[in-house]
Amino acid sequence: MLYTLRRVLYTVPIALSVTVICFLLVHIAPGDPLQMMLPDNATPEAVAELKAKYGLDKPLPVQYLVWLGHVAHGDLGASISTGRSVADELSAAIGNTAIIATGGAMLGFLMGIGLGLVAGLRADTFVDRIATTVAIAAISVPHYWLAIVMTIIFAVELNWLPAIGIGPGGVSLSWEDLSHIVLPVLTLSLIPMGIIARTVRGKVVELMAMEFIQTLRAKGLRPVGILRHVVKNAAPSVMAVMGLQLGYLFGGSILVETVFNWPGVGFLMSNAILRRDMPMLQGAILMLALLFVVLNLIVDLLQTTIDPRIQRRG
Amino acid sequence: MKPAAADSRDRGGQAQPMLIARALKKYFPVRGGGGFLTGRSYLHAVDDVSFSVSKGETVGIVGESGCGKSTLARIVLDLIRRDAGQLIFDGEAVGASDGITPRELRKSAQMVFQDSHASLNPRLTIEDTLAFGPMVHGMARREAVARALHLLNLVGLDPRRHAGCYPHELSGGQRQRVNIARALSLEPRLVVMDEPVSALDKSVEAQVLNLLVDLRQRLSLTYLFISHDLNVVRFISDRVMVMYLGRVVEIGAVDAVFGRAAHPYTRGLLASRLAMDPDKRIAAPPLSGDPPSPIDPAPGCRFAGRCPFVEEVCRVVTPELVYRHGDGTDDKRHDGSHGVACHMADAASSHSKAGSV
Amino acid sequence: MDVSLSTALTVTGEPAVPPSRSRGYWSTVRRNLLRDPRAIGSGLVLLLLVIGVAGAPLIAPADPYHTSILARLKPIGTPGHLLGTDELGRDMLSRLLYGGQSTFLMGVAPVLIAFLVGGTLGLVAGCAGGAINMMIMRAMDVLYAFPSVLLAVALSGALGSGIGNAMLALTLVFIAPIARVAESAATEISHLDFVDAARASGASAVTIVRVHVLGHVLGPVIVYASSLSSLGIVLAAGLSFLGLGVIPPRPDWGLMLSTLRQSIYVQPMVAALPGVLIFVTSIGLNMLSDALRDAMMVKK
Repeated sequence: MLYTLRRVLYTVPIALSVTVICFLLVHIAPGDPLQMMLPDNATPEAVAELKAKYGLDKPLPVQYLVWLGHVAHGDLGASISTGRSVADELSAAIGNTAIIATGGAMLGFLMGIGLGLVAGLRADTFVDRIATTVAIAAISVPHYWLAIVMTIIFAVELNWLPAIGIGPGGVSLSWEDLSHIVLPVLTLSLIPMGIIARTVRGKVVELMAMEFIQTLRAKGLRPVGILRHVVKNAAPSVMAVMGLQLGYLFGGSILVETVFNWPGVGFLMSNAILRRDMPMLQGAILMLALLFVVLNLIVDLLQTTIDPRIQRRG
Repeated sequence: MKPAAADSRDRGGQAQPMLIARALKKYFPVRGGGGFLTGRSYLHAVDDVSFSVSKGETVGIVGESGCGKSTLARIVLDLIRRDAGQLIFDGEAVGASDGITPRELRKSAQMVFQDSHASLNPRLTIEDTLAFGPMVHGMARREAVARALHLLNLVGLDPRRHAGCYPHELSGGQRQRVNIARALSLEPRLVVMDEPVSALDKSVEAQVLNLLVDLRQRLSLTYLFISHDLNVVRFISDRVMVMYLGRVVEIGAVDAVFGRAAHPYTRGLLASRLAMDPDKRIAAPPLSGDPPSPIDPAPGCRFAGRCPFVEEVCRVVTPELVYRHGDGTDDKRHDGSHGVACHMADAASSHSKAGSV
Repeated sequence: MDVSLSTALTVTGEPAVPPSRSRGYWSTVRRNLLRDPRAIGSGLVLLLLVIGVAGAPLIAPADPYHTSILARLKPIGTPGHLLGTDELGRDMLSRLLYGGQSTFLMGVAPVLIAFLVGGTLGLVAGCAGGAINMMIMRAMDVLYAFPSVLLAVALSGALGSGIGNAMLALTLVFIAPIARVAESAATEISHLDFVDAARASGASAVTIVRVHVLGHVLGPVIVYASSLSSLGIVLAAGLSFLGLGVIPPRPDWGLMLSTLRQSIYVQPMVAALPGVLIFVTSIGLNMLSDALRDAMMVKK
């Protein structure tokens, strides 16, 4: 209980520091921060309004607090390119990112666990070497390139799946919509699969060598029973890695979404970069970063619930 | 006890004890003790420990795990900074402005660690490990290596075979000899040994103990020997100190403490040694229960919870060391004779058996 | 019990210098590596890539900037253009060779700098402990709170495109994880008895770190840095892919992937080529890192 409280409280300074960094992004960029927050054809009135709203003539720490206040109320400014509220655009987009991120994560976990178990239980055999090589390839692959390759194979050559975009119904179980989801999810699943596979393999090998497993085998426990013990012991650390990977998928969505023109937060970020749309860029980064922090917190707490022995530093 | 040979580094003279420890305290803060955000808890590792070691003497320190002996060893060499108390080495206070610095102390006092994989750097050869100390103090490498080889001979290892080895290539007993050689590499006068033979097989233990005895004689060393093994301590010590939960409960000449143990804890410890004769089996363990936690200990005698003679006063008043002189009189001043920290030994206490021990 | 054991091997004058020395740790690592097929295989491939990329001025058959409307998007195997041409008619082979230079630079240099900076920070934090440790590691925690891709994009996006900015962004991204690995190794070591023994001999902190601690910390950090360099390459090319790294028309694998994207319907193989090289480099570095890690296992 104490640990939970401490862990939750510790998240607060981290989250605040994240906001500080996001705030400072606009200021480390070359150029006048004021110009970056406004479209090129802004009227002098609009400039003055923005200046007042964000207190841009006041010292930096004050500006930060003002900005933080607006953020806390859900106001992330207006996008330079579309003119619409950044917060609105982001909240519409986050759902789409969530779909492919969670889809990719789940697929990656399933495949990774399978691969890792096979490799670990058949450690140092030919099967293991194949599985490990597959895993290394999976973690090394640049997913933006993989996205292009997938597009080439399935959309260009075979013409089974659409190359870009989201289905007309968004997310539903119709083939029309699902066909758009397949490629992004498949692409995103590779890296988590590789990492989970390696983690699981490592854990399995470690556990199988441990004395208590030897004891169980000596007592005649059937392989299924031993597997259950292995899974129970490996679960906490594997879960931690899974949570982290899910976070990375959210945070790293930009590259894959760009290739597939998938209208998620990453796609918005990518466009924001091209058009130097700072409010949008800042907003998107803030959202994804805070999401990552919260996700880490949940994973840590879940881990402690499952395995109370874990008391990480801090 | 053999008188120490005349030593050119001797500053205080024959009568000056090599080491005087006064009221040493070390409390470790413990996380999350009392309430959240309030009240720090402290683990009383060493609580008001005083003793002295004469030149050429061997003082043994015994006690169960957690009694604070290892912490005490490190405090003596200032590897752990004491929270309170004084250390006086050959008449000079350690850490005081008019005394000697910890660095200077380490030229004359060294430590032999318990053998474990962690006591020797696995990446350095034996030769490099032994040469490190002298080189730190300015000796040229060539000389330091020569001294290292000489030391290996001194502890009974063949330099031609072992100097270029790595620790994992040596057996436990050989590693321990290297540990001893390392401690001697700076030519100390006082050697503190923390469980030096505990991890060794019995036969090897005997060899290493003999080596220690031999070295003590040859090099005129003073030893502080820490162990949980009573027989070993009896073999090598002139005087012995019994510790319990950070405090000294009994101290005196080894024959006095082992033969006429006064403190109930010491008696229990001695009685717990298994006799070799199967006819001498005992059914009830002499010491029962678990020692209480050293974190924020309750006032009074630490042994109160397990003592068969415990009374009201024991839980309230902390007993101090009372010394029995040869002529039978008692004194609270220390002068090297048999001291016991028990109300039963203190004629002035309100214990029903006061003065009877 | 007699005390004759020590007199059994007496010294007469100076003992002879021992003739045989056991293998040191690092030479054991080298020997292990040379026996590992993964290390040899990936090492060779990487070496080939490095030679090709570094020797681009000598090897490249054509000028990577020379455009030709007529020769646009030629397939692989076209005479004169072994690997085809891109959407502006430039020779792919030449562009790939030259492109590797910026990709390698942007991917590996940040790792090296982060190795020095982060490694030192972690070492100091681990050895010093207490308040210094907390300060340093908490600062690292803040950087660690971002997923790497996001932080790289954020910093790079704010600073603007350009190789220098991308390298700066990536360096900052990599400092925190390296510092963590270094700190963890240093903390583990500094609690061991032989460090206490070194302190007992009166050595200064710097000497102790140099002689006793550094060797143990270097191992894990080097392994980690080598796996990080594979990520570095992928991220660096990724940044260029997004338009944040190399500025066109300079060749770069990531940038080429991006500009050739529209051409996947016309010449899919050519369009995928730059990514193949990124992939191969990345796998090679990861395999090398794995081999290094296995080679460094110390037998107890």
